[in-house]
Amino acid sequence: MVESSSLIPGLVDDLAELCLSRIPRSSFQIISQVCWRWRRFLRSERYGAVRKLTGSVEELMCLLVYDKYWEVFDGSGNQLGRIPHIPGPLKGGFGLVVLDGGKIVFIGGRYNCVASADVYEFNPATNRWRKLADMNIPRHNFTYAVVDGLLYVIRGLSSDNVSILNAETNQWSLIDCPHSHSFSGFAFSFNSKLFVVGNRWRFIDIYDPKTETWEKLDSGQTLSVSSYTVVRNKAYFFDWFKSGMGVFDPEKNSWSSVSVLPSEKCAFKYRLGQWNNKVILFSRGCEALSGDLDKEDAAKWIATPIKPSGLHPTSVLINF
Amino acid sequence: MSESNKKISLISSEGEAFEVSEAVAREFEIVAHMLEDGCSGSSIPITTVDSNILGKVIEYCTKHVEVGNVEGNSEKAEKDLEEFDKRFIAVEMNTLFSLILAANYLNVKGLLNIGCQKVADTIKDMKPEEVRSIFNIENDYTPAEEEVVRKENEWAFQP
Repeated sequence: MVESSSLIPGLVDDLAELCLSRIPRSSFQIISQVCWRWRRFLRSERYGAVRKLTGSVEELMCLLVYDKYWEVFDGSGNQLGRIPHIPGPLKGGFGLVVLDGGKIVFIGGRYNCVASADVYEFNPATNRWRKLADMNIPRHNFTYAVVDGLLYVIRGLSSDNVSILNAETNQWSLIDCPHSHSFSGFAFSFNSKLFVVGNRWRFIDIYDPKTETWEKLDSGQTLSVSSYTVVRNKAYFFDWFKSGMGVFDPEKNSWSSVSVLPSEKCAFKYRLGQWNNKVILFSRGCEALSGDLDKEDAAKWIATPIKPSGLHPTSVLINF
Repeated sequence: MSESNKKISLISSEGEAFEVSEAVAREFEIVAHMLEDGCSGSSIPITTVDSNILGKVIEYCTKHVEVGNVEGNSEKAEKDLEEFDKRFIAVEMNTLFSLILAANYLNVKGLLNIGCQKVADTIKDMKPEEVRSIFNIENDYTPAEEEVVRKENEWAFQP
């Protein structure tokens, strides 16, 4: 019975840990049935540390379905399980972003017509949500983006400025931004600058954190974005009033459009995200499609093994 | 470099000598450290590794040094090396464990990595009973516990 105290008889535990840390997450449920020692190790903090050490961290897609429950998929499309419910009542008009490569942050939102200042963070290492500092202003239907590790929460239906979270200190600050008639739209980071593309508004507001100044860029068109994603420094979006998928390249300041197969449908049927460095398209009632749109002319949509159980999932990618 | 022609003898636990070039011996990080510390004697005892395994580790390091020295055509070389690694590590479990232990002791990182990966790949598609029998692991779940663990499917991450 001496051997039974080791993880793998014949290997010292340090080495057995190196071996077990390389097993993909999709096999977890099976291998935690082997014995208590394996199960304990797989659920320990030590396991996470070893996994980082051996470079076995995986990119996982976390989908929030019906704004309500979570489904998690690995890079091959295996469904791994669920994330606990977000604390508090069910909200709309919230923001969902990943900080630090692996923590999901749920921002503000609207409940019973009242804006919320609540912010929660999910840490996969503890499998728990915790409350972060409240936003200095309650917000809903805002845009948001992470620029160089800082989270910018921009405007919203109830306010016209920008809250910035430094997750390291868990503190919010506030800056003004140019007045705009728009709310919603989308925002993203490019070259360490914050790009804010407003809905029903033809200007892009660009903020440079180094100089703390805003500038305006005329997009030459009025947008009504319903869903967007940013993959490899290009923004892809659907517009309520246009067919096809819009593409904005901030480097060239160029706007273009990509057709959506199998047929041009209305924007509200699609949700965008990113997966394996490609654009992923969640459409009504079928598996998600993925497209390598770097060569825009050759845009081809391929079915992915990801099948969310509900419509309109919101997706984020974490490394864990 | 004249140094690369220098030969070094590695002595297995049975006392058998394996003559290798210094470049190959340096792939054993533990040997590289010894050489740097001035233990420049031409024979180095590897007391915990037997002839069979030492021979294999040397074969692995020799191949990797050879490929590392070839210039150009790196993509093909890399593929070749991948193929070599795959064949090299397709051994029975006891030998695999011995290779992992030796690679860890001698600090041959590449070999340690592919060895551990091979164990992980072997486990990942197996049923729990198969894993237990191949790795000689005692099932310490009670039948009731096993049933609970089997039904557990709600967690994506460990708590």
